[in-house]
Amino acid sequence: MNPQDPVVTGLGCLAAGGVGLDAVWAAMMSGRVTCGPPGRFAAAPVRKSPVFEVPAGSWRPSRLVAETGSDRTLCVEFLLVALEEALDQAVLRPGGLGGRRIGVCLGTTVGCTLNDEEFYRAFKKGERPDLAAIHRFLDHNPAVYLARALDLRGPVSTINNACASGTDAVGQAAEWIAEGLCDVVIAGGVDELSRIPYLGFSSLLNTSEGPCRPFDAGRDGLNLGEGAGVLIIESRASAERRGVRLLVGIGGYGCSADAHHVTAPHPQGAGLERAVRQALAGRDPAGISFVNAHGTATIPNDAIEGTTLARVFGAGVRVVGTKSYTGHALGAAGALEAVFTVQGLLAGTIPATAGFQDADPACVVVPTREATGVPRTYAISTSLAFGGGNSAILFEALP
Amino acid sequence: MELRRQLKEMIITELKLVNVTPDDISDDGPLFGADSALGLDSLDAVELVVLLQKKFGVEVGDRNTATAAFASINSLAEFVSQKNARA
Amino acid sequence: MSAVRILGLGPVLTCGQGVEALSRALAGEKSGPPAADLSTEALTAFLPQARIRRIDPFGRMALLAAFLAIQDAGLSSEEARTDRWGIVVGTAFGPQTSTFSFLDGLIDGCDHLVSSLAFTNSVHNVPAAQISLALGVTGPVRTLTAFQYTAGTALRTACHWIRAGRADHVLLILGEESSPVLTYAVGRMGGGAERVRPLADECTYAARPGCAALLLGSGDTGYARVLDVEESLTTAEAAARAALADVLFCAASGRADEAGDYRVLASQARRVRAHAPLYGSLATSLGIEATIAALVLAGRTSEAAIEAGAGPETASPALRTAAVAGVCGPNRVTLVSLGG
Repeated sequence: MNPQDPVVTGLGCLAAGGVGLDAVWAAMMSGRVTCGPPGRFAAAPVRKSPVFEVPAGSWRPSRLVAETGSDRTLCVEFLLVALEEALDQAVLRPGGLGGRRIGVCLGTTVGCTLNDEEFYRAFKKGERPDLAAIHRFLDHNPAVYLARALDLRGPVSTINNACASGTDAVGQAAEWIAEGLCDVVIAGGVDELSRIPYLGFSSLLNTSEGPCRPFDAGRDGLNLGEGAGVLIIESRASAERRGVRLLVGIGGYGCSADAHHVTAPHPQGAGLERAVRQALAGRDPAGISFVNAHGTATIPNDAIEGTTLARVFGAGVRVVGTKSYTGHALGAAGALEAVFTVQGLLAGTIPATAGFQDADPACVVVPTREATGVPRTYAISTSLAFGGGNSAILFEALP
Repeated sequence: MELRRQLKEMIITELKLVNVTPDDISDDGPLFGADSALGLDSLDAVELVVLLQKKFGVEVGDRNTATAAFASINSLAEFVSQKNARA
Repeated sequence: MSAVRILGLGPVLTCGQGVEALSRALAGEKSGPPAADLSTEALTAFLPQARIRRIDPFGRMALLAAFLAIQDAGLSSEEARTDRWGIVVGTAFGPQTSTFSFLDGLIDGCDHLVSSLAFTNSVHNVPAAQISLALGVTGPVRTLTAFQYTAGTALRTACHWIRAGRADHVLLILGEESSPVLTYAVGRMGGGAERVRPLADECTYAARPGCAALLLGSGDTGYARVLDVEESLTTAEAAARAALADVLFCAASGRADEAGDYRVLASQARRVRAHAPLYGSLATSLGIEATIAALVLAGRTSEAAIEAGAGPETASPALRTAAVAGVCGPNRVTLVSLGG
């Protein structure tokens, strides 16, 4: 055990199932699935698909950062709510972060793309719209926003690796700590539902018309979701010096590309296997507590991921797919799943995989049918990204 | 213009095939898969679904229908004709 | 931070593509403001048309830069076909052509007739995926997008992968497209100048497309070593460190809100360079200045000093260290230290 080893000291999250980890976890443990047609926007794709939207009115703007003149984006709002919870658990005073070498590493997809349809429609018509939408975009890149609002002096990174962004952000943050770049990192991911990815994923014929069914024999696609997951990551030495509780250690991180096809994963999961083995970092696969799978419920993903996990860990490995509770929250997905993986180790249980009923031999693995006790050893969260990236992060229970 | 030729021109233009003319595309050869001379893949198939709707007003509906209809130019033309006849 | 080497350079800029063309532009052989557009025809020398048909302009620019950097390092692209190579793409605005093309299809057509291909290409990490596909790179692949922080963090990430043994070689690609929306926004914010004047008080932002690829590795050959990447320094801290280097390269892009910070940096430096007048304004221009710094340190270019310098001078053998500075926000600077 090294004083420079990265540990997690705070968790925060916000998703369709609730605000705060307690609420979200309780909803998952009771098997409650909350999805429906998009409420915040209208859309008419070929295949309508339910989404996991954070209910309006379920959250209040965080006072972590004083509101300024310009409207905060939903991404930033979600991020601040989750951040406030995580800082609270890590016993870090928001006002005391300024001027310190604290890093921020966040994943997002919508949060860093100029997708303001209203602005662009007006621009196309030659109406010469004002730049409010542009300024909003320029002012709300998640990591840059936090760095400026909280006066953070460490490294600043917004990662856009599509579906693996959140996992990569947590992995990157752990590496900054191990490298001694800074003592504390605010890590995680955030995304908001938007017409563009909703229509885009529908056009790829990737979405399900009903609630998604990870690893199920009758699965037929994903549902999109939104939210934020934040983890406070610091060095063991920093946490011990501050006298705060070390939740879990981050024991490994793997990241590997398929180089197979721009939208389809490698059929034998070669990239995923490499990433998982890197994250294991020499640990015995047989000792794994559970895997929080990417589990989007598309036909190819679950088959490839399932067979790969079975190959590495054995067909009986405990697997949970939490996208049936959160939807596929894109940039937030990996971060939410990291939070859930930590929580699973802490609580010694993982929820049932909602939507799963009938095993598919093509997936080999069978995810949890009910809430399941798990040993407090080490657990991995996997993400397979659009574009062929594969990321895996390993959390380890501490004595 | 004859339907088969229209389909070939649409495929060439919209799927951005370079150095390919309609005469290069056979009516009965496979469009997709390893045996296909055109090298079209699953992403092209998805795009083709949208194009059929846009240019011919024809909806594909599901994966199985697509696989059958997209086998060759001939099967594609037959699919489009049938759908339009019913409409 | 133990040293990582810059082994190859692949600039794809409106003032020239490849090291030779860039060197000529630096030597003052090109005059006038940078061309408005960039052609990626040269990509067909590396890949057949059939392979690049679905790759959008941003992807082609990044891919061309990658191939040029590999070639410049004296390597074959086949050597990239391994999990010991990685790719980091850093871009503030991403694949704009595809982003707006998707929106065009949506607005001109309707919700259920959007193009899946345009959507795919608009996803910011797809250019990195295209490079990984074209070269067969199966190591770590990442895309970063944090406005002016992007280039520094991307370089740091690439260097870390090498030092930590995640990869032996990393292709670092930093670039931007231009677009009618960007041009319009810049114009309304007071930019749209013909030519950038990096340290001027007023806005002289002249958006241009451009991309710099750096092939990083270890060993004893190459242009220069990356000694350190320091982020979130105050301007004063950065100025003090930059004063220790033989020459300071500024990623000044003509923004009025950064000019003051760059002037502070320049005021303490032994020699100052800022080359945006040659290649235009880009958010990730730290990568281009680092490219030029590497060329200068390797004695590979005789270079006309642009702005804030004392007139044309040739690269002196005394130039052993360079600092490359990028302002990231009010009183915040990323400083890259390079050594010959």
